Amino acid sequence: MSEVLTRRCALAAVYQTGRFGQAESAVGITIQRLQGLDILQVATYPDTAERVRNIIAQQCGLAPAEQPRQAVIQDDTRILWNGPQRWWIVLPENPALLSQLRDELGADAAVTVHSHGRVVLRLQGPATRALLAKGSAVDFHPDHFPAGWCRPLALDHFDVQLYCLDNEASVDVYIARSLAVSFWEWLLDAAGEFGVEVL
Amino acid sequence: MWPASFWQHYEAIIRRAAGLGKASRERDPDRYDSRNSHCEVLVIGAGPAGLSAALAAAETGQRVLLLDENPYLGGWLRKNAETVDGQAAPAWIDAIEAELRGRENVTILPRTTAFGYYDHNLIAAVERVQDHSADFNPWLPRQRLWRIRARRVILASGSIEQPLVFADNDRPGVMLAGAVRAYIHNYAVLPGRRALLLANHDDAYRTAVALLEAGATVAAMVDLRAKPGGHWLEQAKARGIPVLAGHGIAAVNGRHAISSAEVAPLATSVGTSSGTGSGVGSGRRIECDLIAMSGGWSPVVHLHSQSGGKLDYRADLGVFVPGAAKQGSQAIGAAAGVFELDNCLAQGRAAGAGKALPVVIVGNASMPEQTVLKVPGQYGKPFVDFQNDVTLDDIALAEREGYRSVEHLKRYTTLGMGTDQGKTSNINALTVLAAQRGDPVPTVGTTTFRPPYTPVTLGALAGRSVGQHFKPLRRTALDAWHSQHGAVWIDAGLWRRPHYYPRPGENVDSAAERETIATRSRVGLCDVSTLGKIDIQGPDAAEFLNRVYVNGFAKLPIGRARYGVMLREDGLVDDDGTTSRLGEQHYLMTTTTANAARVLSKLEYYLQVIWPELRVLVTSVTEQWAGMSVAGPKAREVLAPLLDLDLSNAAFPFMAAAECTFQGVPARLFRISFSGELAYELNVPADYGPAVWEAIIQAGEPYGVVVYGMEALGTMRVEKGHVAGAELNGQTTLDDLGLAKMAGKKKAFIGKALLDRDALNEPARQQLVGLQPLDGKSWIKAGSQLVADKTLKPPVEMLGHVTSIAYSPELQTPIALALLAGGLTHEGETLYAAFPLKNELVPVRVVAPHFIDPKGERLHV
Repeated sequence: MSEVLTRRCALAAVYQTGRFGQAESAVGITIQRLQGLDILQVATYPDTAERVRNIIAQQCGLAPAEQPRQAVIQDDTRILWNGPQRWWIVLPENPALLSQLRDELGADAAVTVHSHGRVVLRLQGPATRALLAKGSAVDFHPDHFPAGWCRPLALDHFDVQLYCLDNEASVDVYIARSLAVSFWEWLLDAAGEFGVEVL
Repeated sequence: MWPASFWQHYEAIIRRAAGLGKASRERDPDRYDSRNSHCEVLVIGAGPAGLSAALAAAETGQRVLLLDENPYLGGWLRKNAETVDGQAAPAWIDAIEAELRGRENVTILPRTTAFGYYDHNLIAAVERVQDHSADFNPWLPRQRLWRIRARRVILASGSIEQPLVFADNDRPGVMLAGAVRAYIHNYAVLPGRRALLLANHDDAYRTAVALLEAGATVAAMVDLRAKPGGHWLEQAKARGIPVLAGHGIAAVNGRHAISSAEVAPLATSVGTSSGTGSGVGSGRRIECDLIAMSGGWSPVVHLHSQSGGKLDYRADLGVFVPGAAKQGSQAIGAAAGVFELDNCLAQGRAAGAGKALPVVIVGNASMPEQTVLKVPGQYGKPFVDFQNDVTLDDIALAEREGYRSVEHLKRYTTLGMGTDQGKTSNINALTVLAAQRGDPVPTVGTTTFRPPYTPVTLGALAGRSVGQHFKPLRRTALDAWHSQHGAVWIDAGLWRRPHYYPRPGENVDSAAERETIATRSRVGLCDVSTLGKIDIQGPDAAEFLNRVYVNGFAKLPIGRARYGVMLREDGLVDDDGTTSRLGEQHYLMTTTTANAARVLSKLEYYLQVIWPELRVLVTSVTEQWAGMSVAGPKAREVLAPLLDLDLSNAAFPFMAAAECTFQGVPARLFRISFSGELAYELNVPADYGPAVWEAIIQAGEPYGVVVYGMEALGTMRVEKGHVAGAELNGQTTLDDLGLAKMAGKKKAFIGKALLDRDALNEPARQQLVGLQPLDGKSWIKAGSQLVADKTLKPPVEMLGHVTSIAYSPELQTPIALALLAGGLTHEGETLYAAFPLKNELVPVRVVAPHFIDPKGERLHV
């Protein structure tokens, strides 16, 4: 955005690619940092939710799911449920979208920007469910945790937004920026027994 | 102990020998971890009942979790030479295990003890992952705590063999009969060559047979029952084992090992399990080197009891069994008092499939009749609790002393308070106590079963929440810069913030003094990212703020900030901060670092519960922005070239707010000041924080810019008399803090209704004042008590206390803020700041709490 100043990711001091944890075993968990994403939160009221969903659909090409704890995805854009009448629109940087949404939504919704406020990590691999079960009391069995499942929850000591990409339990974890380094330390420690590869 | 008068000499030695050792102060070197798990059917115990339950449940397709405290499956079935479905027991167990392991819906956890049964079918278990392993894997925990949430729990936890109470029953070489069998079948160890068995039920006969088949001699089978009978008696007789019915053991002989036992017929007939006084008649000596005893099998009812389920007493078995379940659990097999293998298997199959349990047909196999043998005048001690050395006499004494309740008995004698928590003593003790009271056992009752079932290491409970994982640390976007520049940290809630930036030779005082002087005379830069930032939008946002804050917000113009104070419902001050109006319906509220989350919750609560009709949406944006304060007379010169905004006093006066760009980066600028100097608070998207921070330092170099930490910030706010956490302590009112004039007279706001309470308007309330030492140099300790009488002769009237202290470089004297009864009515008076812990007493003068620029002229330049 600035031609003079550069961004510095919250994990800049700790993010290193390579193998970590148990080295003899196969890789149980891969971790990938997703950067360059815009995160726009749209919050509204019960009586305007339908109108707001329609406007989001016009502006983004897809509407938030009607059901709670559901995410929708199309191409590079995904819309995550983040609470009653509250969604996160996550997409590659798109500076125009914020003002377009604000203009169209008017007083019916509040749009706030969280692109710098969250760090996004993608976790994949056969041990993902076991890893998540270390930190959360949520049931991650495929019957209860299918693709498209998303919700804010506590993972170990951290409040995160979790989004399940597929039925192999690949997940995107949205963690508050100030806690990202602490979360990273927990993550590598907890995943160590499964064998970790940071991409 | 003899002689009794020497007890005082023995005591210290005995107490030391008793093993009340010291806990280590060393750090536990082992790694522990925890995991959550969910299942439809949790089977606790993998004996025959548990195995058949797990298999039947698995066949329904449900998620099954099977755990057992042993390293192998099969439970007591492995220790008995049985056949199941025509197969030898080990083969049958292996076949079931293979079948279970082949199913995706089954998880098996050996070496795992379920130790706690909590509400909503939450079961805690500890898995000993590597305790047994010689090849230690550093990435795996030593033990793992499981938190299991199960729709259904099948308790197949088996039973525990009870000892018999007779003289000398604690001698080495006296063992439980089941243990003897386990040595033989599990470990191929023969515990003795010539064994004497003592029992009150049929099961011990298996041990006699096992001993024979392992090559030992069975000297005799001493059966307390007058008329034993049935299959096992026939077996014993067929093998030539002498059976002495209606006999007991009066004494055990041997110096270094057991050599013989005195066996005698019971003098009185026995027919119930509640008798205690049956004597032993004149006996005969039987040579032996092992005594295997068995007083019957007591169901493991602990988890059922922990879950809230009641216990029923089965007089026919002399044991407690699980009564009606309170949660979704079901006890089967030996845990339910069902001991015959066929019945156990049938119960397991039914329970696993979720069907009603079959009616159990009980043979006369396990019918203990008598567990306690008391011979008047006998020499050896009959132990009831082997762990805490409680004898039959101790229980009798307790009863004579009036400790007739089982709870009192426990505490008086320490019975059942060892590491086994009475698993091998409670039943016998209850039987004794009941007989002494002349009551049936059920009316005597049992003590309460509480988690944990077996001792659990504290390490397993703590898991990985140790060291740096104990609690998370919040870092600002500028954290790495602070680290690189030698910041000394201070905790602020979960955040860490720079306390000061020492230069060579500086300590906290000298560094903060330098940072303060530079800021007040030139310009300083401070990381204020931790302040709570709440985005507030909606058509009713102005009205909402007007109700939440004591002061008016309805007419705050766009582009302006205002300091606001909010009260709790009880009228006491809750939090303060500034709120800026960014647009027609768009505000940004700042809160103190400590209260950020709580204030947001409070706003959400008001909007969702109190005023749902208000159309306002709030969300935290603290994480999105890096915040930095540029303060000091040169702040404008430093910032102006970097922003696309006219910073002149006319265009951007005190308490102005604007959205702008900082070298192309979108930013928000607020002309607000905590330091009391000309100051700007700049917010930029957090990833740009480090670059913007460095750009400001670069631009500030010609002006001698410094970075300053919390200590200097605190100094400047004390100099200004700004209240912070120590004054916003939940006990102060607006008036106490000198803020009463802020409260709107005509409007309603949270807390207003209770402001008029008498106690909040007493003239003697402690109110905010400033203090200076009379000598101009003595430090006043924070927390000091303010008193008028320097002799400190009790009773000393406490007039107040010191809340915040600082050294003012500008006044060149220590200063302090304090809460003082009567507040500024005492201005000019001399009091004493007493700090008895350090024996300090500093004479102080009461002054106004605004030490520097009381009219605020520096803010408006």
